[in-house]
Amino acid sequence: MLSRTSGGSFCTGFLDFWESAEDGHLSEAFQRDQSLKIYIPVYLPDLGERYRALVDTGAPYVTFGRDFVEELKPKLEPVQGVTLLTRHGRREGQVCRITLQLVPNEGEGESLTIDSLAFLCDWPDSGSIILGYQGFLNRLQFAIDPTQRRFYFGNLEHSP
Amino acid sequence: MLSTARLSALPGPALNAAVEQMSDAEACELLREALSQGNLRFTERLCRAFAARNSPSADLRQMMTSLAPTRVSTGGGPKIADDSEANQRWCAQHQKDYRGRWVALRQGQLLASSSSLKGLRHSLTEELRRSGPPLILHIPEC
Repeated sequence: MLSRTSGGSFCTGFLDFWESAEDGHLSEAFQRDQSLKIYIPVYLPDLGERYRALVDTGAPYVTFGRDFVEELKPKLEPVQGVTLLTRHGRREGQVCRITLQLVPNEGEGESLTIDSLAFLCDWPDSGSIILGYQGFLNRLQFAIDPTQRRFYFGNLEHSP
Repeated sequence: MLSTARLSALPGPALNAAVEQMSDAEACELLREALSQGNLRFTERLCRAFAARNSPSADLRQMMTSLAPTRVSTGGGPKIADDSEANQRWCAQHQKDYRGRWVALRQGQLLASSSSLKGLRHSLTEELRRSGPPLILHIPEC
């Protein structure tokens, strides 16, 4: 587990991330120098399932694509007709409050429960969950170890 | 009314005074405008300023609930067996056969697949869920 040089733990746990190319062919992607993406599993207590989500420091908020709207809408009572600035420009959609949990590899720390703003929108990739920086990632401590493909996470409030 | 840019530059007490006289409908509009500008910090400040209101309207209350600052706590969450590697292996081997579909995996095994998330969730019976929450993902078309 990661520790600070000044003492104290940097994170509460870690999980394995998926490194994936747009079309899923990793070896070919390296040859073509195609941009690679980092995905982590997040547990959604409202649905009782784990979903693969894209970690995107260039995006704001947590954003769910169109396919999720129907599943989440009855549970979360979103606010309708909100326009947000997103990685795909201005988009109209709905905002709501959602709980996401980062569950560590077995025996590798404690989970983190994040209660966050989420944007549900008619996204080009309707099956995606984006974990954006502003409002989500910037409220955590996180680190990436590409050699072991580990995503470390911790509670910012416990930071010295 | 001051512009969103002017309001966001005000210190806390001045902001509270500036928004105090606003109607709940105007408060909702201001929150929507701040959101559309991507100013999440300001929406959080506004929520704090509006929190002092006595019996806000249902619309404003709903907005304030959605836009409240992110809360992070340690703990919670189910125990999940580490199956990341096995699931990734399944994807590498089989995803070409499931393009454009939703799949549910656990321990590198395909539990169900469907053309829609709704259909997939419907096909995940209690029995399939009993051994722990499946990992659900959408395989892109391309």
